[in-house]
Amino acid sequence: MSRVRSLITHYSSLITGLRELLYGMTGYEFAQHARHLRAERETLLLALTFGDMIGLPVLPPYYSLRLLPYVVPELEGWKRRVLRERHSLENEEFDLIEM
Amino acid sequence: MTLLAIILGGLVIYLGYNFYARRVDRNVVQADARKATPATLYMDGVDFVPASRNVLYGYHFKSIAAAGPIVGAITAANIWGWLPSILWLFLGVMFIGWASDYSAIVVSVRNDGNSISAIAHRLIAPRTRTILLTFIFFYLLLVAGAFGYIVAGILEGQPQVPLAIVALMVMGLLGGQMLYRWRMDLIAVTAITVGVTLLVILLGPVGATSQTVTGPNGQPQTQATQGPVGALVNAINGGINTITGNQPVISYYDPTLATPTPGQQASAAVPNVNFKPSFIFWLIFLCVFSYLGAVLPIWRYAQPVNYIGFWISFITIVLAFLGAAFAVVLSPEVASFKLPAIKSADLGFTAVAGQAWQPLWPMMFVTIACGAISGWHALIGSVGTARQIENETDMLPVGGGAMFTEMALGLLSLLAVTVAGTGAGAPAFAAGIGRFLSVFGLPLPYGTALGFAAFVVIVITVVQLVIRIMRVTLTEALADRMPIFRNPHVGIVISLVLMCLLVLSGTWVYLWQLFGSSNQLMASLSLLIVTVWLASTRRNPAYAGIPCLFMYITTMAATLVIARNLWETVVVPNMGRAGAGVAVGGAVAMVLVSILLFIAAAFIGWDGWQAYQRYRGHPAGEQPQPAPARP
Repeated sequence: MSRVRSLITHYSSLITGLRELLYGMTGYEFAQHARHLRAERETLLLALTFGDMIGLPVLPPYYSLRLLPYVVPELEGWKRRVLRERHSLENEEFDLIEM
Repeated sequence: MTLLAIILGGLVIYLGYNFYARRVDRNVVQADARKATPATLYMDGVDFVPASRNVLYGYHFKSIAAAGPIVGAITAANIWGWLPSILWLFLGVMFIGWASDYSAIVVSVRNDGNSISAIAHRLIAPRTRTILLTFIFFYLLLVAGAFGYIVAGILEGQPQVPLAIVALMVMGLLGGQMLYRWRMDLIAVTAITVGVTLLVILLGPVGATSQTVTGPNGQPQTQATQGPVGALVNAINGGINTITGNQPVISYYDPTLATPTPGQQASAAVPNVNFKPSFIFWLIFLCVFSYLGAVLPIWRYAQPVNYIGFWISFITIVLAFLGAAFAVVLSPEVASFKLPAIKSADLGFTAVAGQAWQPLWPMMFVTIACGAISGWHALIGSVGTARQIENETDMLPVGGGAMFTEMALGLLSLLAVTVAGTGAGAPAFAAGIGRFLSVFGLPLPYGTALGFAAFVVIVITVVQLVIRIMRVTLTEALADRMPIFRNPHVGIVISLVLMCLLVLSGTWVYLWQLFGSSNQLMASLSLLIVTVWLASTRRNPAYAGIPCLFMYITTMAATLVIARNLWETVVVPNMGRAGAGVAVGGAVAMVLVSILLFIAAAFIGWDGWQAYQRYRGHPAGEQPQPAPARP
């Protein structure tokens, strides 16, 4: 019985692996693009509301503080994203090039 | 024979991966599952995102595998025969290819997810980054020229193909709309867009017939009649060609296409390339296709077109691979090799004045690039993939594993061309794919149409993306000094004009080899950066350093041979010939590009050697120190 169970586990992990592989070749690109689109809007919103954190004072601190509790989970990733040095081709779906 | 080649390919992958790659991963790089990767350390939810090993393997493989391994293997098999080509595919990937792809990811992961060019700037010299950008621009230009030439030729010469490309364009636009605007399910969108495109591809040969008749000299000849789709395209071509009375607008002698009929000598006095207005028309069609890809938002056109193209080529290639494996049982005639193992006994080393010189070394090593080793992969790996590696032990299966799998794609292309026997380039590839698919009962014309479509779809999607990236590169390089380049249309039009000039100047094989040289020079540079990094961290640099030296010397030699070939066999014979001005101008431009690549590579080599000496004496630890400022 345990042998059958281990066989089932083995094949189910194989199928999971194949599904992930196919997802990597197909849908992952769309997911990645969706992430980029979301990040662009988020960057804009956070730059307007919390720009002073990266040297862009746009909104008075009072309103920023009112919004702070809602955006705390996003702040760390946002700062890393906008302050990182970038390669010139990075913003143009560089990963789509296939040769 | 096909099954034997596949088994040997499998053996190469098994041995190379388990007995060499794993050893390097374990003993030299010392991949450590406990070390935090940039994806986990700097997770920002966009670029730095940990992804599962399987997902990342699929993503990386799809990002690196496309037209390169297919076209390179086909071209090399026709110049030197299948045996040297298959040996280079096997040995190249086993000792160099995987090492380049894998190491680029390793270096990036161990340097905070920085791209190879950023690491080169820091580790070797500031100008290395500038030179790398120069390589990238010429690489893109040469890719666009080489692929544009193929696509325009196929669209003009294979009347069943253009409708499939129109279907791809329409389905791409529709797919983007359905996915992002109507928010339809991805599976439904895939079924509709891929299904319709496949149907249109298979419509091409409907109604077409071919029969063998006795020709005027008593020889049997094949007489083909097109179906409605082919007849329509032929009528369009014929109508366009009446503009010049069916006369060519550009004529010149291309030594790489010299295939005279038996008993007739190829002569530079007789032009063998004749571009008629219909060719120009399809070239403009390609420009429109690429313009849309470069100017529309990526989600609206380029991404869905690319996605549909992936499915078309994936289905065709998987079925063809199975056909090649089972042919020995189901249809032994298909499985036999028809192309000679070696084309000429001297392996092309004998040079004849005024004729193309194609010595096996160094030329084959730049003709087959992507299936054996490619510099572009290193760039992609360091920018995209490395930032999503969740665990250091995933670096080998993702980077190395995807490269080994790409070799399999090159192998399939080589087998397709080898079993086809007749013809050259894309037609031979399509005929071979048709034969493999015929093993499962698909009639030969339909299988061949699928082979053609898969090939063109792969190539055309690359061209549109290349034009998009060329526009960005031009903007980056020139916009500060010339603000007009901030307008995206200016960059796109200039890129398209440059591509068209390269296409019309022809000399396809030289163009491809020059592209291969720029690609392989990038590979040498990437291996050089890896070697310097290994030295700077007290690791044994041999596994990257020796391939780096081999690729560097080979590619430098190849650029010189290409320059010689262009001058002696294109510029000199076509000088002063009416209608050959574009060909001569293009050849001179390509000679200049060869020389530029040579000089740029010499600078990189010198800087790399100095950096290597510097770090060998004083290792810099895991985090390399900045290169000293230049006076």
